[in-house]
Amino acid sequence: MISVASRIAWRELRGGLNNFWVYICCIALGVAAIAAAGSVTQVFTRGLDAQARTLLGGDAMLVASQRRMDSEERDFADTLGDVTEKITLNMMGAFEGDRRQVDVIAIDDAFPLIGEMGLTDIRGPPSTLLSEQAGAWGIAVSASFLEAFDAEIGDRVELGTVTAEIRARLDTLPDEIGTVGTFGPEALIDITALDQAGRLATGQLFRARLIVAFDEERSFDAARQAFQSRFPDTTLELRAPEDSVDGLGTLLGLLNSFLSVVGIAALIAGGVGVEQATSSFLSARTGAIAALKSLGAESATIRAAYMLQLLSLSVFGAGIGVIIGATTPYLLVAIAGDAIALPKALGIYPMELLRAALLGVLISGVFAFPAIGRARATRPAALFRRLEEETGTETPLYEKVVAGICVIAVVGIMLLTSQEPLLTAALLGGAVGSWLVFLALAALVSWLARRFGPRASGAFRLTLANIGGPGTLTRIVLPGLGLGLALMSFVATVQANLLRQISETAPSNAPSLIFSQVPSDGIDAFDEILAAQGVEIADPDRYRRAPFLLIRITDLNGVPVDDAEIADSERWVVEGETNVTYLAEQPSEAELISGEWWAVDYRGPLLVSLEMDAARGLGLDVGDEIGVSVFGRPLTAVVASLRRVEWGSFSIGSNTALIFSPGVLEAANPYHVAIARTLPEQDRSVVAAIGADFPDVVVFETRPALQTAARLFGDIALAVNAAASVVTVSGGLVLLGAFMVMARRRAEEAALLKVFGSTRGDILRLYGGELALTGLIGALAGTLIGVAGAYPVVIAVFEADWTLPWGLIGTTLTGATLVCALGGFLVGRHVHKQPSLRVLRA
Amino acid sequence: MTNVSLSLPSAAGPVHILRGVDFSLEPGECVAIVGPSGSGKSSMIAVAAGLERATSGQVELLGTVIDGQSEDTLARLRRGRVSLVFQSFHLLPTMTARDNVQLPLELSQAKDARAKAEAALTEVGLDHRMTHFPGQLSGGERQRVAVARALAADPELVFADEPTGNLDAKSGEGVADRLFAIARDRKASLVLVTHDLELAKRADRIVTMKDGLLT
Repeated sequence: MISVASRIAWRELRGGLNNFWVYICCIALGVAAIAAAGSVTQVFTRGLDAQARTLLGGDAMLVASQRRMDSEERDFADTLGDVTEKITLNMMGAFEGDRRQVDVIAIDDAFPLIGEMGLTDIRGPPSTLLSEQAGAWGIAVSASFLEAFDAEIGDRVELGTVTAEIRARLDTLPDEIGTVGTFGPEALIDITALDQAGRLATGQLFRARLIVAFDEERSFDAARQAFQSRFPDTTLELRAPEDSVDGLGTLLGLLNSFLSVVGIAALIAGGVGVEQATSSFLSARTGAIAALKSLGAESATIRAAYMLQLLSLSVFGAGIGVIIGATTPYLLVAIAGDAIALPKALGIYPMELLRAALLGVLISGVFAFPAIGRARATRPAALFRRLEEETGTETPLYEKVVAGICVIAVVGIMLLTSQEPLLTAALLGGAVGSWLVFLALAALVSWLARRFGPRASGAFRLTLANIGGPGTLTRIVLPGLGLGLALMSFVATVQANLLRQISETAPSNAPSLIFSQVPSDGIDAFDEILAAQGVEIADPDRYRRAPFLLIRITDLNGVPVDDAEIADSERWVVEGETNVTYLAEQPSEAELISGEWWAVDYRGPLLVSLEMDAARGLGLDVGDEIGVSVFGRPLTAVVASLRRVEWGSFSIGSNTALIFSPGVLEAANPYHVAIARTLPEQDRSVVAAIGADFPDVVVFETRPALQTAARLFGDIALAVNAAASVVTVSGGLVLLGAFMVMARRRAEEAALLKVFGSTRGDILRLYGGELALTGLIGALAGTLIGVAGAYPVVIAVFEADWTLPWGLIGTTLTGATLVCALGGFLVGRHVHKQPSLRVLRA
Repeated sequence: MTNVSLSLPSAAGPVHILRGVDFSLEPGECVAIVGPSGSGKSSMIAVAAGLERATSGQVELLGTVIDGQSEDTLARLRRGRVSLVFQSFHLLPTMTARDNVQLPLELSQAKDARAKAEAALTEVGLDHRMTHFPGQLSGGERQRVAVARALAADPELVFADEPTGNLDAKSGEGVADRLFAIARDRKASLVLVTHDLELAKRADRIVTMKDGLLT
């Protein structure tokens, strides 16, 4: 049977692939997207893995915030191997009256343990690069530092209260990706300089690291066990090389999941084209199938013959997709290599390519098998009478089961190979759900057209008859076009809302200046300076200030947080350390849900007001107890109230998850943070005035930061949109296929209309109108689904304000309708050109 | 038609289908064209109806010389005045029998299109099949719908190309009866292409075509 089937398949395939380019392109495009996503992710993941130890700077890293490691912790690190200390913090740099925030990296003599720093224009011997000479500490600064301050090598600058001399330009650090100073001025300084200036005291804002290069064959797990048994209650974080770059692994995993699902969505959108191409091909073969059956061929032989043909085409399409996917990383690096600073391991990743090809072939099976089943199950007599157009044939159970197995295999492969199975399942569910919605919508539209067609007249009646009748194009156009537009609308709506948040909402709500490291014993003088500079410090909408300190939650109602039941969404509150404040008065914007605020002059045992969602996630209510560690000192606070927080509001302190009662925590003398709304022209004078009396106070200017963020976000959004557009391109291919099908199906109709007296304009309007109407419905549904899907993401995930992107919706609807109308006009033009008689006698 | 020729290109060189045909038709006259297959009968009515352009010669349709006229002008000329019935019916599969008949009436903006369509279908004995799709009708019924469609608009001229060619003897006779009766009742001119000499004898005049020439 197989040999007969393969002979039939081979003979048919020799006829050429002219009618199958949509089929092949749809599969190639989806496979290319998945293969490219997998390959690109592997290139960067393997690249990071290969350099993980270098990026960490060693084999293990201890990290602390607002304090340096004590002698016991340092001794422990020394037992593991060579140790270097690295501290990062923000300081205000000053040069010739210009003051700006600088990212400072403070190191000791042992830095770096692995690799070398990239330094140029070194002034003096390298051994004295960062040493103190003639009253100035040596610093190496980024090119962006020199540019921002308009300074040169050899100039003297101020970093907080430290006088420093620029002795080299710092280009690269072995444990940093890309060029130093890409996001702002950076400076490298000796830890001793900051220590002597009192800038590294406990409670100040900085992040300290001890980096260890193991001195013998020691595993990280063994070091971790030793660390945990030695410091069971520590607030230190111990990092392995694979955690060297914060969140990058997770980000790559998310990216891979997103792009893989984009590929799957492209395959689903393209699958409509596969189904259409298969059905058209088989309906053109109905005569041949009937003849084969009448000559004694079994259904199984016919099924095998056409399965072999379509499998060959799927493998061919998948092969093209694999080639495109495998070369994508090389193209990406060639085109945008400098812009992507991540370490790369360029290469061919066969498993990723195999996975993509397998998914492509399986999805083509999902869509092609039912069509094969219907064709081979059709009775020869029915085929001769062309009754299939009117009655349709039920898909046989065998092909249903095979298609179902393909679906299960696709889902299984996607979930088993995903780094984020839950996210992949959700995205996959969304794509499949949307597709089913479009199929249901197509059935509804056809039903409505049939229902209301008889009430219409003339050409519009014919339009409705074509939309509602057998062989309607709605089943192709709606899912093919709608799925692509749904994903595009989803991505575009999310980014439009976030971009608006960054460029409009945030600048109007956010402070323009943020002051940190304000000493608690200087707050009155600090306020006076600001008032003298025109900042309206009495207006809570223009100025706020609150003390901040870093604490760690240790237990909830006596249960250690590691053992307590905590909702995933609120786990951030207890993971590591969290910033808290204490306030005497209840902030005006803090709305109490339950409990009471303490008296303004309260000085009793420690109380705390909890943000409502955090309380719910931690399972706490008024009267419960929270155990906290403040700079290593254990304290217990009783929950006095629960409150609602508006995270985006102009406030400080009131929008933290935990607000403590004053008194107990005041003893820690925490630094204050202040926020102010100023006019742009005030900013420089305020920064200068504060710098004169409070050189250690770091001022963060949000205006340029938001502009940079908006620009960066715009670039990222462009890249994400470009990736998502793969689905739209796939939908476009399906649409082209639909136009071709329409041109075949409408040839006879157009010839008849010409006989009836219809002009070229009538026919163009008829088909333009039919496809425009179908396209408009598909675009409307796609946009609605995309926008509806974006709403919870914007509101719940990003917690941003929601605005309906009318411009986007209008553009999408207009564009899709015009493209479809144009397709209809082209179809009309094509069929009108064919001589009526020849068409009708064919 | 005055000295009308029609040649179509082919891979083996031009094929001469009509070779100087002269033919005229009086209002209300019924003419049958007979001849062997491939003699050019169908091509002649295609040229006469303005569906195919003559290579040379002059064609006048309903008092208008149609040579050199645009396709749209010809379409407007045919609208509501010229009808065709085909051997293969050519009904629109997405529309019911009534809709198929009603559509050309609506395209010519005829009044009471629905009533006229229903009347025409009743006239051909299909009042019980109005809401059926072509796929649900027998061959004879489909051709009766095609006849109803051709005659519903009261055309001045009807071309029928082998209207009974795909039907059995009984169905064919029924369709022919209705075609002739309705054409006569409405005083329409009828040009009938057929192989069936018995059917041709029912026409006012018979012309024979052979190798692209009327004899």
